[in-house]
Amino acid sequence: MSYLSLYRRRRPLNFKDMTGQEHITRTLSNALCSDHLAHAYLFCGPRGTGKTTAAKILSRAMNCEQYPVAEPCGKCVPCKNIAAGVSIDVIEMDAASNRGIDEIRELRERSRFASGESRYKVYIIDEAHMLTPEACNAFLKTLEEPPPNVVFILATTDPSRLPSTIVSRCQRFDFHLLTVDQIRQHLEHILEQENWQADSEAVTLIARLADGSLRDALGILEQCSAYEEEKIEATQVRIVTGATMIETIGTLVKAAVENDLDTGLSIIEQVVYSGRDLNLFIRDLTFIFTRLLLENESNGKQAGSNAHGFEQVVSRYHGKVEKHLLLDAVELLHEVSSELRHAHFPQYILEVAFIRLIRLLHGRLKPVSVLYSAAVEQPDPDTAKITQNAEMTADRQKAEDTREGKAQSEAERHERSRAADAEKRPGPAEDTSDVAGKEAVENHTAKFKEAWPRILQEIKRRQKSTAAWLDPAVLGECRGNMVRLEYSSEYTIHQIRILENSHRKTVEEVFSAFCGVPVTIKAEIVEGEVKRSSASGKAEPVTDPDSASDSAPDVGPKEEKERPKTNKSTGAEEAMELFGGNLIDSE
Amino acid sequence: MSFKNLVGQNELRSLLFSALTENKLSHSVLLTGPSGSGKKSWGRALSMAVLCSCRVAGEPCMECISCRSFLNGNHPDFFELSPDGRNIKIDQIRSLRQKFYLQGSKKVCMINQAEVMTAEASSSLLKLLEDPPDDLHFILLARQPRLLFDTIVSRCQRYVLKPLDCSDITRLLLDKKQLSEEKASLVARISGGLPGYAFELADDEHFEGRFEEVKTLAYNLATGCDSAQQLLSWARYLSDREDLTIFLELLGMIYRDGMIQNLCVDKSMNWLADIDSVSLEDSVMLINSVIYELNNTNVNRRLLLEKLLVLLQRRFSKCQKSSGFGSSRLEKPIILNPV
Repeated sequence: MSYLSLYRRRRPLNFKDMTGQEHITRTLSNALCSDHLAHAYLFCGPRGTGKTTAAKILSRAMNCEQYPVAEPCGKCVPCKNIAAGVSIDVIEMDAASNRGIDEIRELRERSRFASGESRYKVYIIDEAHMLTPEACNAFLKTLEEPPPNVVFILATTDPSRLPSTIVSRCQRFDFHLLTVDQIRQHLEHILEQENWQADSEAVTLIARLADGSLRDALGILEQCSAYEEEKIEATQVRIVTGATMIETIGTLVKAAVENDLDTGLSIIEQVVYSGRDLNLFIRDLTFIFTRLLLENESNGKQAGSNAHGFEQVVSRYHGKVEKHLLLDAVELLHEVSSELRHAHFPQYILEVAFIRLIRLLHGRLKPVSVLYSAAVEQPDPDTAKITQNAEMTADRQKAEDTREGKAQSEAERHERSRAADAEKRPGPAEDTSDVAGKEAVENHTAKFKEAWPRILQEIKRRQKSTAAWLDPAVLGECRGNMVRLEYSSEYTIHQIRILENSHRKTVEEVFSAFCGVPVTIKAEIVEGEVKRSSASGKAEPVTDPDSASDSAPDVGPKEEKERPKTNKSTGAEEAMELFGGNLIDSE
Repeated sequence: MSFKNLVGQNELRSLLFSALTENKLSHSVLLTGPSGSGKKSWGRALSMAVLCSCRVAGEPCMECISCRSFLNGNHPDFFELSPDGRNIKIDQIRSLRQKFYLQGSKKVCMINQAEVMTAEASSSLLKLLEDPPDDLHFILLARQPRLLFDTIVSRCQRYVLKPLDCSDITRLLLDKKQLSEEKASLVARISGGLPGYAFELADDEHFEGRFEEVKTLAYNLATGCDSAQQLLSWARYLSDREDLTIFLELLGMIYRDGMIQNLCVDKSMNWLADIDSVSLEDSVMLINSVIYELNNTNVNRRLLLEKLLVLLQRRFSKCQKSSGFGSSRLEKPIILNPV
């Protein structure tokens, strides 16, 4: 005899052993006691809720020698025969395989014969929704007025597919999905019987993953018990079912709440490539956000209760997100789970979802820093094929000409195309040397200059005071992974402050994020007047041959403000002509 | 054919071995994993192990009569069911059914692509899966458990084949094929963690040419420089191609990379910096759903592609207007390497 599955071995033999469904077991027991049996029953409900089990118990109870009783005795001959499946009077029929009119005709013929050894002849028709319409119609008359002592029990997961004429002829019982608590209690009972060990977190997790179905729960439990460990633990359950580890989900929620795209995206990649069940993953996320929402509603009165293992996560973020945002987040996650059903790129779908989630929670996205910006540029040798893209590959002069032809804010355009070109050229070099820190940073020198306003802005966003101390600095040459900041002698205090740990760290972080390799900063006092113009990228000093020839760079509002510091050069007037604006004294 | 010859999947291996050695393998097993992940090989190894009467620590012995006849492909108690046409039909299951009830030794029924079973076929399996005759084992192979009925899944012990890590595949490709590093990582990303698919792509000599074409299309759509006429001819050209799925996968990947790059601190490297993230997100989702429809439904490929291209271009052109940049900042696509 091969191994018998747990859910078959532990199929309840009495109504009182059935978990949940009390509304059904009570009704049936009372009907049995008072001998008020109907001739046709219809059991409907989702998988694993006890339809077939109830049908089997009912068929035994009505044939028990001690009838009328509430429960089958389990000792008499008919009870034993039926339990062993050898009774000739209880016929379990698979309507999904025998679904045609011919099978029903045969059933009709046979039902005319009286029962053999038992009181009632019982037909258990499982998966009744698969009967063809013809079969159903042929069955109607028999079902309405069966021969005496014949009882039909129809079981189905999908009663809506049965014609209403069938349903109206039966006593209908609807089986409900089981609650997590009910399943947990049942599992604990089974564990005792099987003499297995499991910690309570694991049991709760199984109960939750089973989705209201006892058969699923027992299946998971069985699979876990085959895992070598002595005691069933939550991590094991997660491995067996493909559910994502709780820490991973916690980190993702943290990333979402804290506007941390980097972490979120890398977690998603990790989850996808570790083969976890993505539906479960989204479901867990939805669960957490729903929980947070409920906690918000109840004002934290039951914080952490009923969180099924996510207590920590829920209590940590309770109250951190506004209610209407949570509502939207839950809705978004619901949409994702249905989109995943038709996913060709599950990873991209999850990424898009995460980006949308963050945008929803925070209104705007905090840019990704290191993760993807450090990516190696791919040299494109064969660009000639790209149609209508000729200007991109043509020499720079030509490119500029074409763009000038378009005559829109040329100055800015120029700078952009230059910068892009300047970055393009070192690209292949980066490829070969991978990320050799020195080269990478040197290649970024020009880019730093060009992007200096944006760097400043980013620093300002992170820490206003740091930006203030950095403000008068001028970007010097970058050697190795050392970025040199130059201050004129009147800004000594600034130079000292910026080297203080907290400020220094912020600045280094932003620079590192910008070029993708760790960068250290060095701040120095430079004798004589520092050409502030270089900081704003205007009229470049001859530090970098590349940017030296650049005429009009990216000019933001910040530069406008600083202009008075430089001599009122022709450059300033030129810029004003192009962009408009006034001279403001920043002192 | 034995477990020894199969690489990776250590989690699955240990789960199966412990189930086999402790004799706790359920009578119905559901093995899921994306196509190309080796479901069939694992399913066959498992069948062999179940049928073998003298297996050693989970491994089939490879010597007994059962194993030898299995390897020769004429084991009398091993039934393999594959789709007949598009679906697995109820008659196929019915005809096997009679054999299940014959007395004798262990039997194994392996069902390939269980997700394409018709509703009737799946339902007719339900009772069998729940209460099979003694010594009958079912092994169902499917891409995703959610493509099967809940009622089927609930009756099975579930095992999952994982995709390989992107970096593992890259390494594998670099070791076994003479590929440049960029191509290897690109192929690894497209392959979605499936070694078989990755090797197939790596051997494909048209890969580079196709990639260039995809880049051209991606660029043209984003800049909106193709006329409607040109878009329609793109659609006609593409709809005749057999490698359409890969083509669209590459297209999706390019826009997805643009989307991620758009979120970086430094957008200047991104040729799609003009396109706002929301449009890129939408385009990724759109391409995703088109690939799904192409592979899973019976659609007119050309119409679908026309719709896709027109929608994409319209989506992009909207945000060009609003950003006021025009197309000048668009550079040729730069493809990111995975981290």
